[in-house]
Amino acid sequence: MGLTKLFWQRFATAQQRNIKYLRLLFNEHFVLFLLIAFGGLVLGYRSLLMVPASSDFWQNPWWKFAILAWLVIGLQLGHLVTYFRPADRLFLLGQDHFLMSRYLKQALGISAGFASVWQLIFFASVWPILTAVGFHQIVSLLLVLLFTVMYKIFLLVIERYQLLTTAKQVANDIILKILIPIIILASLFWLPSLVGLGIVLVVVFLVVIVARQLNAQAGQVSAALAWPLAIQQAQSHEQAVLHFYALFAEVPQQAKSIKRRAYLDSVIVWLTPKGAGIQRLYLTQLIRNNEILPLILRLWLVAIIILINVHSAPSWLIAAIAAMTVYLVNFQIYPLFLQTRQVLWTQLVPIGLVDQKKLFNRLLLGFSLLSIVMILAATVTTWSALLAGLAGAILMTIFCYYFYIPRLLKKGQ
Amino acid sequence: MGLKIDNLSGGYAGNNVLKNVTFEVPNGKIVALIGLNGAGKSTTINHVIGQRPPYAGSIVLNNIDISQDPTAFKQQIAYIPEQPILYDELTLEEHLHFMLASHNLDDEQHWQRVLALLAKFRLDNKLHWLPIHFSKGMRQKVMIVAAFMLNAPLLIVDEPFLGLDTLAQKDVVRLMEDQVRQGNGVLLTTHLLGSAASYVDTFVVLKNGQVDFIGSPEELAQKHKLSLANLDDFFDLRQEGQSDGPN
Repeated sequence: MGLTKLFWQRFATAQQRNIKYLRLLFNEHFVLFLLIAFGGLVLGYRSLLMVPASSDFWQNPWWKFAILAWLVIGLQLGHLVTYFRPADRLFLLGQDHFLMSRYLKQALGISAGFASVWQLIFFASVWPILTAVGFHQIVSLLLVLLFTVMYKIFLLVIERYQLLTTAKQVANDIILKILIPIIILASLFWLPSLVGLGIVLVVVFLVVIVARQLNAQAGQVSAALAWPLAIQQAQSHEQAVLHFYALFAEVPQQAKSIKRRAYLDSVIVWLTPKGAGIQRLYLTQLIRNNEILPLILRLWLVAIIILINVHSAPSWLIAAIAAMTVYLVNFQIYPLFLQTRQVLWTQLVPIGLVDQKKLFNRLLLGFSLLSIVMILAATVTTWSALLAGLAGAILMTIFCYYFYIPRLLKKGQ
Repeated sequence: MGLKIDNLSGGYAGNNVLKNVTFEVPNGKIVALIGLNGAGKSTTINHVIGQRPPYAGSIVLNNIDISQDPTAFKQQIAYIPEQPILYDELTLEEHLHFMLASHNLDDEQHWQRVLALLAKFRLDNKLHWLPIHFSKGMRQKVMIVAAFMLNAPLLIVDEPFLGLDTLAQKDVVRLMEDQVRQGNGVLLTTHLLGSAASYVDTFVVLKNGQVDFIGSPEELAQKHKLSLANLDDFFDLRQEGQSDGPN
C-alpha cells in the first residue's frame, strides 16, 4: 500500500462505514424520530417566518444575540479528521515529515471542506431571520458567511499545528473559539457596515499571517508528530461519530467510558438482592457506564419537556411519544447485555445463558417502569394526557418485555 | 475421578484443530499441556472451559459431562486466562464478590481466605480500585486471586507467569501445590518446561492437534535425552525435527 494514498484509503473506508450506519439509521428509529422531533421543529420555524418582516416582533434585540450564539455554536462543529490509528505510532514511526507535509495536508483539506459545509448549513438556517432583523444588503450577509467559514478553517489549521511535538498554545480555547468570534460577529451585527467590513478585513489579514506561520512550522523537516495526542484526537473523533449513530442504531466497537459514581453504590446494593451476582453486575455496569446512563437521563428529560408542552395535543401523539420513550430506553440499554457477554468472565460463570437473559430483561423492565413514572409525572396536568401517556407507555413496556427484547436477546447471543 | 478428555476433536470456524485428543487430569495432580504455537493447547483449554462445543468426543469432570450440564461443570472449575479479562465498571472488591456469588459461595465464609490471597499478592489495599488503574501484572494478579479463592476441583491455568514478577510467580506455584494437597486437579499450559518439571506430575505434549506424548517430566527428559534442568531445550529439538514423535 502506497503511503501517498493512505489518507484517501482511510477516508474511503470511513465513508463506507458512514454509509453503512446511515442506512441503518434511516431504516430504523431515526425516521420516526425525524418525523416527530424535526417535523415539529420545521413546522414551528415555518410559522415563525410567516410573521411579516415589518412587524415589531423582529425588532427585539435578542434576535441578534440568538443568531450570534447560533453561529458561534456552529463554529464548534467540525474537527480535524486524521483517521490515525494506535498502530500508526509503530508502523509510521519514521514518517513524520511525510505525515506533516502530505497526510495531514490532505486531512486538513477534507476537514476544511466538511467544516465549511457545517458553517453554510448554520448560516443558511438563520438567513431568513437575519433578513427579517435588518440584514437587507447581500454584502453584509456574505461578510458574516465569509468570516465564519474562514475562521473555522483557521481553527483547523491551529488544530493541526497542535499535533506537533514542538507546538505551543496559540491562545486559550475559550478566547479562540468563543470570545474572538463573538467580538467579530457582534461588530458585524451592531456596527455600521463599513466598519464591520474593515474589521473583517483586518482579522482576515491577521489570520492569514498566523496560519502561514503555523503551516510553515508544520512543513519543516524537523517537525515531529505528538503521537499520543494525535491518536487520542483521532479516537475521540471516531467515538463521537459512533456515539451519534448509537443513539438510534446498534453500533459495535464503541469504547466505554466509566465513571465510578460511588455515591450510588448503596442504591445498587439496595436494588439487588444479596448474592444476586449477575443482576448486580448488570446494574453496576449500567450505573457506571458514562454513555448509557447519561443518555437515558437525557431521554427522560427530553420526554418530560415534550410531554409537558404537548399536553393539549391529540391523545395519539402523547401515546406515541410515551411509547417511543419506553422503546428508546430499552433500545439504549440492550447493548449492555452484548458488551457483558463479550467479557470472558460472563461466559465462564456458572449461570446459564437463559437465566442471564431473563435477569437482563428484568433489569430492562425496571427501567421501563421508571420511564412510566416519569411519563406520569409529565402528563399529570390533564386526565386525557395522563391516560394517553400511560396507555402508550404500558403497551410498549409489555411489547418490549414479552416480544421485542427476548427477540433481540435471541438474535444477538 | 478428575478431568477426563476422551477422543476430543474440535477447533473453531470449521477448522479441525484437535484430532482425537485423550488425556486425564486426576484429582490431586498437576498436568501441563505443552507444545509449540498452533499445537492446539489454547483450543483444548477453550473446549474444557466451555467456550466452544467439541466436534466429537467428551469432556467429563468428576462424572459431569460438559455437554450434558455445562452449568454444573463450570461450577467445578476456576480459570486463569493468559490475558486478564476484567469488567471495566467493577472495582476489585466487586469482581471478587461477583465471582463468589456466581459460584453460589457464601461471602462471609470465604472472605477471610480472599483477604489472605489479596495480601499475598499485595492487592489488599486496592479493593476499591477500578481496573483502569491496574497495571498488566496487577490485572493478572486479580485473575489469580479470583481463581484461587474458589478452591475449585479443577484449576485451569493458561500461561500462569506472563506479566508476573518473580515473587508472584513463586506464590502461584505454591498455591497450585496447595490446591493439589487439597485433592484438586490443575491443568496448565506453559512454555517454561525446565521450571515446570519441579512441580508438574504429568506433561501432555500436543503436536499438530494430536497427543504426542504423555508422561512424567523424567520420562519426557529421558525420551529426548535431556536432563530435567535442560528440559527447555525440548522445543529446540522439536523445531529442528530431531524429535521422535508418533509419526
